[in-house]
Amino acid sequence: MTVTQILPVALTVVGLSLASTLVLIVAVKMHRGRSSARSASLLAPYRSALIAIASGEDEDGQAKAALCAVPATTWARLRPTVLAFLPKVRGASADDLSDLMRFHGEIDRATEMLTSRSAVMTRQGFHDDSPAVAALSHYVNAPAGGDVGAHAMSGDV
Amino acid sequence: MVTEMVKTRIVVADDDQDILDLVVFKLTQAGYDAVPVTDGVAALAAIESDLPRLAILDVMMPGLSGMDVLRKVRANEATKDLDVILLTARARDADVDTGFASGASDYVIKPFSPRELMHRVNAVLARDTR
Repeated sequence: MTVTQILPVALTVVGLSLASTLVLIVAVKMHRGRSSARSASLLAPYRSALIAIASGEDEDGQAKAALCAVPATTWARLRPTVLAFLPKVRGASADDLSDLMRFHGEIDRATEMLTSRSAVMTRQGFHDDSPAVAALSHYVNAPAGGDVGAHAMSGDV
Repeated sequence: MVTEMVKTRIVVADDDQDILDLVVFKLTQAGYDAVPVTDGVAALAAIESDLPRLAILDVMMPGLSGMDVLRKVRANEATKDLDVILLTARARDADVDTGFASGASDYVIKPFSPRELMHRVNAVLARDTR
């Protein structure tokens, strides 16, 4: 085969590859966008409860009770949002958020991650949610509602 | 005749949506008219269009920083007396010094206690009404 015969075939193959890559990128982005929108709409009813807790306005404990009652699948989606709030507040708000995390077993998970003899697991614990997991680590072994974390969260330690 | 009380207007600027929502919620619960904006340019526009009683500004924001907004506010005859609280993660003494030297009424460091922030807001607002 001569170059003039190969060239159109090669160009066609390259063109098709580029086109299919482009289609794939667009499809992935659309999927992520839809998934993100679906996740946001699913979490919307819980966000106001979360903000009430984080702002210290959940005096009757209704918001905390509502978020403690969510099923595991919903919690899995809600968890990153709660973790995102944790390093941003301190005092009673942080304690209330940590109580919520404790209820859903996150403190135990953090304890396991941070005290694991596996260096990989420990690193993974920090990598996944850092700096939120680092903030959460201050609550490890702390009594529920205690002020150990509040002091740690203040950055005074 | 129903007399409607005018709520105290407070502009809140932060590019972190979580903190913005949280502060606005807290202020609204306390009976203030909180105006949320997500960058410095919008904060300055909100302040200049309808002078609030107080502005709570994050320091590190896209466009104009909170410190830039504060300096512009102080340089403008119409807005120079506005109370401004800086709410920021910049916790070094030098940062706090710069904040107050630029004319901040108060300086709150993140992570912050929402309850403490409200005490600071009330204290700043009470200064001028004494």
